Amino acid sequence: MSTGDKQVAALRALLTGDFDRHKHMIELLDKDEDRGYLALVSAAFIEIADRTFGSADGNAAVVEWVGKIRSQSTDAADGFDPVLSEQVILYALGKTEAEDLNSQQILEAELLLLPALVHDQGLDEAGIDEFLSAARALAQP
Amino acid sequence: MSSELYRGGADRPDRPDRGDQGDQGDWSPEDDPGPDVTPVPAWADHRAPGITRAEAYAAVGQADQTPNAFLRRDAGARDEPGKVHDAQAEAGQSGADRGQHEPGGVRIWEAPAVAAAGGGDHPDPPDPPGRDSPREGRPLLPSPEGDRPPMAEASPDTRSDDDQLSPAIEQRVNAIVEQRAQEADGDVKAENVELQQHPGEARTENAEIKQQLDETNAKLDEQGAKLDAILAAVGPGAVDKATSPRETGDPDDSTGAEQPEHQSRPGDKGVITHAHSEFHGHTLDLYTDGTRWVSGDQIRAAQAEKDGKATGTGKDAQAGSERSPDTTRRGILDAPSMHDQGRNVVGERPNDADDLPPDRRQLLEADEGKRSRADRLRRRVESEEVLGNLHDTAKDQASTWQRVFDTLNAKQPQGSPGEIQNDSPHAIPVPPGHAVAGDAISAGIMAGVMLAEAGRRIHGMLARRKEVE
Repeated sequence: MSTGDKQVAALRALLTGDFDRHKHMIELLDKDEDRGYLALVSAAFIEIADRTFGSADGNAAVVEWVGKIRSQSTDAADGFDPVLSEQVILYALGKTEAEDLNSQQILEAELLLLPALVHDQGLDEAGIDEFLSAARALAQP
Repeated sequence: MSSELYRGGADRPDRPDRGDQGDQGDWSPEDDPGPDVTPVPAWADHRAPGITRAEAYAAVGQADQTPNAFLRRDAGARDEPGKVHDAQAEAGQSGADRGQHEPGGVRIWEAPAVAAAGGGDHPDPPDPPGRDSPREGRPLLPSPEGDRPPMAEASPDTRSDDDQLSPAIEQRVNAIVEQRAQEADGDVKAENVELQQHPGEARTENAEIKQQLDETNAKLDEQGAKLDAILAAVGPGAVDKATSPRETGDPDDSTGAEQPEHQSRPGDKGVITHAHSEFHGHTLDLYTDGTRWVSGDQIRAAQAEKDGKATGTGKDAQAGSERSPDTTRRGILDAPSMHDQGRNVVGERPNDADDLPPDRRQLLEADEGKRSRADRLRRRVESEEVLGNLHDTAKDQASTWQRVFDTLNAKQPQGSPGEIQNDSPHAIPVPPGHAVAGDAISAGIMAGVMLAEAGRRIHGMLARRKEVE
C-alpha cells in the first residue's frame, strides 16, 4: 500500500468540486492503489476533523456543524444523515467507537463530509495543497 | 504674716486677673513704672495677684502717691476724699460707716480694722455677690488647694520698709485667694455632683469609645488579612522574593522588594497592587505584582476548595465559592496557596501551561494520537467489501456531491481576494474642480452655523428696537 500522486490528485479533484475528474481518476486506480486512496481519505478526514473541531471540548460543536450544513438546502438535508455524520466525525476525533456502523457507511460518510469540511475551512489552492501534504504525511505507514 | 504677702508678690503676673474686682482700675502699661516715672516703693510691686497698684496705694493710705495719675483719680473717685487715704482712722469707725465707704474694695480695710479692734469689735463686711461662705475663721493665705504650687520665698530686704502696711494688704490678698479657691472648689464639686447624678451617661460614653476602638481594630485586621490573602494567592515564592533580596544582598535582583520605602507601582515585582472596580452592581477585584494578575474570585475559590477538602463534601465547596472571601487572617493563611493548587507562581516554572503552546513531547504525543486514529479509521474502512464498491460509491455520490457543492458555493459571498488591485493602502487622487462628499458636508455645516448666528443677531436687533420703541 502506498499513497502516491495519483491518490492525491484524485482527492484534490474531490475537494475542489471536480467530481467528474475525481470519478475518472478513481477508475484509473488499481486495487493496491485503492488501499492507498482509502488511507489518504481516512488521514485527510482525521486532519480536517482536528482542524475543525480540535479546539472544541464537547460534542456540541459537531452537532452544530452538521445542523448548519444540513440547513443549507433540501439537497444537503437529504444528503447528510445527521446521526451518521455526527457518529463518523466523533469517531474520527476519538470520542466514540461507532460500533454500530459498518465500513461502507463510514466510507460513504467520509467521502460526503470531507469536501464539505474542507469547503467550510475556506481554503484556497495553496491551502488545499498544504492540507493534502499533511494528509499524505499522516497516511504514510 | 507679711512674708505671706510677699510670697504672692514674687509670683506676680504681668496682667493681674481682675476677677470680680469691678472697676478698681484696669491694668495698663502705665502700671509698670518707667524710668521717667515717680519711683515706686518695693511693696507696691510686691503685691498679691489680683491686687492692683492703686489698691495697694489705697490700702496703705497713699492713693495720691501712685505714679499713675489715672490711678490717683480712680482711687479718689471710688472713695470719698479724706477717708480713702486715712486707713487707720477708718479702722475706728463702725461697720455701717465702713460699709458706706466700701464701694468695691471694702475688704482692704478689714485687716487694720480687725487688728485695731482686737478682732471682735467689728462685724464682718458683707460678702460680695455670689459668695456663699464667710471668710471668717479661715487662715490667712492658706493653700486653697493642696496641689497648688508653693509660692517662692521673697528676700527679706524687699519688705523692710513696709512691714507696718502688710496686714491690710495681706488680708486683702488672703480674701482674694480664698475666694478663688472656693470658686474652684465649687466648680469641681459641681462636676462631681453632675457625674454622680448621671453615671449612666459616662458609662455610655465609655462604651461608645470602646466600640469605636474595636471597629478601628477590626478594620486594621481586615486590611492585614487582605494583604496576607494576596501574598498567599501568589504563593510563598513571592513572599520569599519580596524579602530575600535584602537578606541575601543580591545586587542583581532589581525587584521592587529591594526598595520597600518606594511607593508601589504596577510593574514592580514583589509589590502587590490592588485594583477594584464596580460596574452595574458587579464588583471586580484584581491583584497584580506587575507581571500577572489574580482575581478575588480565585482567592474565594481557593478558600472554598480548602473548605470542601476539610469537610470532605463538595457541597461545602460550592457554597463557599458563592460566599464572600474569608478576610480573616487565619482563614486566608489556612487556605492553600495558588502554588499548591497548580497555579503559576511569580518567578517559578509555570505549573498551569494551558495558555502555552505545546512542547516537543506534547507535539509528538499528539501526532502519534492522530496517526493512531488515522490507522484505526483506515483499518475500519479497508475491507474487501469497501474496496470492491469504491468505484461504484464514487459514481453514486457524484450527483449528491454536485448538488451539495452547488448549494455551498451559492452561500459563499461574491468576489475573491484576487480582485484587489493594490496590496498597500493608498489615497485616491481627487480630480481638480470636483467637490467630494467631505467638502459638501463641511459647507453645509458652515452654512448652518452662519444662518443660526445671523438669525440670533437679527432677533437681538429686533428685540432692542422694540425696547426702544
